[in-house]
Amino acid sequence: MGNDRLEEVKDRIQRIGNLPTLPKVATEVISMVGDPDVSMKEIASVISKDPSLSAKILKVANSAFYGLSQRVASIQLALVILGLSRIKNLVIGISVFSTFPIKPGQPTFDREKFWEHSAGCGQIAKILADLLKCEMDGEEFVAGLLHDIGKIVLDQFFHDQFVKVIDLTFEKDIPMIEAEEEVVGTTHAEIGSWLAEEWKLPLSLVEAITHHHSPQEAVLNPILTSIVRLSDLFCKAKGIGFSGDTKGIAISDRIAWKTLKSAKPDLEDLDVERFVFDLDAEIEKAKDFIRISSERVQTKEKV
Amino acid sequence: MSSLTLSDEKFKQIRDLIYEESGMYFANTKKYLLENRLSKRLEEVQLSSFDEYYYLLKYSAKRKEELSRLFDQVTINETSFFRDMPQLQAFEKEVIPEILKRKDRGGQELRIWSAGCSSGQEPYTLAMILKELMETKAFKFVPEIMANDISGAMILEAERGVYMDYYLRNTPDYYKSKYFTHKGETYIISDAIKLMVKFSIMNLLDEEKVGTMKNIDVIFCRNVLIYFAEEAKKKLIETFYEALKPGGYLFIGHSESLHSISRAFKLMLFPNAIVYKKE
Repeated sequence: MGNDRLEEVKDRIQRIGNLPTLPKVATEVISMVGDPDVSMKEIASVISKDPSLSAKILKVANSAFYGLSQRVASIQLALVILGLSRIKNLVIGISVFSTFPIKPGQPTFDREKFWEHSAGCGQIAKILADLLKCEMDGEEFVAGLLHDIGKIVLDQFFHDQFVKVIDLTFEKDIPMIEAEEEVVGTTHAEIGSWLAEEWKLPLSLVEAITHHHSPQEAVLNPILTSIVRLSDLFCKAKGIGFSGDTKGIAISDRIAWKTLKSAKPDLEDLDVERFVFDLDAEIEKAKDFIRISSERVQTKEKV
Repeated sequence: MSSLTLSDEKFKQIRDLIYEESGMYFANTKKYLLENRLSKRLEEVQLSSFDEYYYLLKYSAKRKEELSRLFDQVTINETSFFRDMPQLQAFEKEVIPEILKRKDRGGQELRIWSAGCSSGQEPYTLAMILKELMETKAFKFVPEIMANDISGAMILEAERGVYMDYYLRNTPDYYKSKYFTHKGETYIISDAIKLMVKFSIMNLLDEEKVGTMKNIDVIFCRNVLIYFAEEAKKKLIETFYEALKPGGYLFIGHSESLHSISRAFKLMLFPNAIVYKKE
């Protein structure tokens, strides 16, 4: 059973070294946002203690990503304009890149491509949520960004097995998740879910990561999980990612589509073609996000 | 050269208008294309801004006429061999294998229709792809490729099979050397490929003639619909639907959409290609 193998995987990671952790400031912000006694000012001061993170938040806030009409010059102002939840999600999103830095030029598992796919997914989730008028305060973006995070853990701690997974995916022409079951005995969804729990990420995020291949099993926020699933598929349709999957996808057949449609009937009228045509420009915005998040920021405080 | 600039706002208005009228879509990343092509047209009609041009397209009495000039302008010179690789990849790697695999197939046949084939680049491209598949033993019978165009001159050109190198700009070297004879500035398509395609003159609005096309596995009708009015488009798509076998596929231009024309087909997303499937 998958569960035993997952325990083995956990054990092995604990033995080899440490489970990658989110930067302290991110964990702090996550718990502070959930605490009604904490003021905005206090949150701003915690974030401001990390100059690199602060600089990146401001850069993203002022980029096409949000398309704000007003320039945001301080973290406090960013909190006021974008709101607590969006800033929290932004902190999570940006922090991931210091936990799993991009190492370019990996032949088997190209992290640059991986993040391109992930951020593209996040970006598509963001437009889908806008289009369907589900206000999610940026949680959909982070969910898209993190949905495959378990793959990075596999690549980092079980590299040889992960290479086999990738080979098998191509060889047998099966979904990666099936190859993982066969080779590792557990999946990137399960591992990602564990990591998200360890990181104390919001529960709806944990759920989206756990069930992004089985959105029908989501109970907390099936809309979020379905949006992530669909974004993943749209991303594949745009050829963004490393899977090399050429299979055609009928969006309307997907469980995620049906789940979402029962909650949002106007989905039926979505001009899917036009939506797909428009994705190129959106994916460029996602690349901006990766670029900003993974920059090495030179700040005066650091020197 | 002109220095007319197209503002983002005007671009979106013109883009949406074209989409409404033709189903052809220019994504934000294709703004340059619209700007370049239309600048020329603006000069011809002696307009000094895109605002004026938009007005002409939207409200003038000559709008229909101007729209068809616009379509000419934006689709010009686009017929080349191996045009739009992602679509051809979907055709070669997924669509054809899937059709061949289907167990309930009646007999050993594969029927492809290139509707609006211009001077033959598209059907010949499909023939080369299928020929390669035959050589890898994907199937043993000879596929039928029917190709037609409304213009007799185009059909003659197609049957002649001689092309300026410009039309081969997207053709991989492998195919160039295997299926063409290079003579001066021209390339001549090989007889083996020529024999695979049956050309004829056909007006796609001629219901009687179009109605004779039956049991088709795959239809290619790329960048043709834009020339038809709304009703004609709907009728043609219905005819295509009828002509296809269950499980058959329809390819339209890579930036064209059937969204406002028909919901009969199932929309299939392949990497960078949208294909319509009859269930």
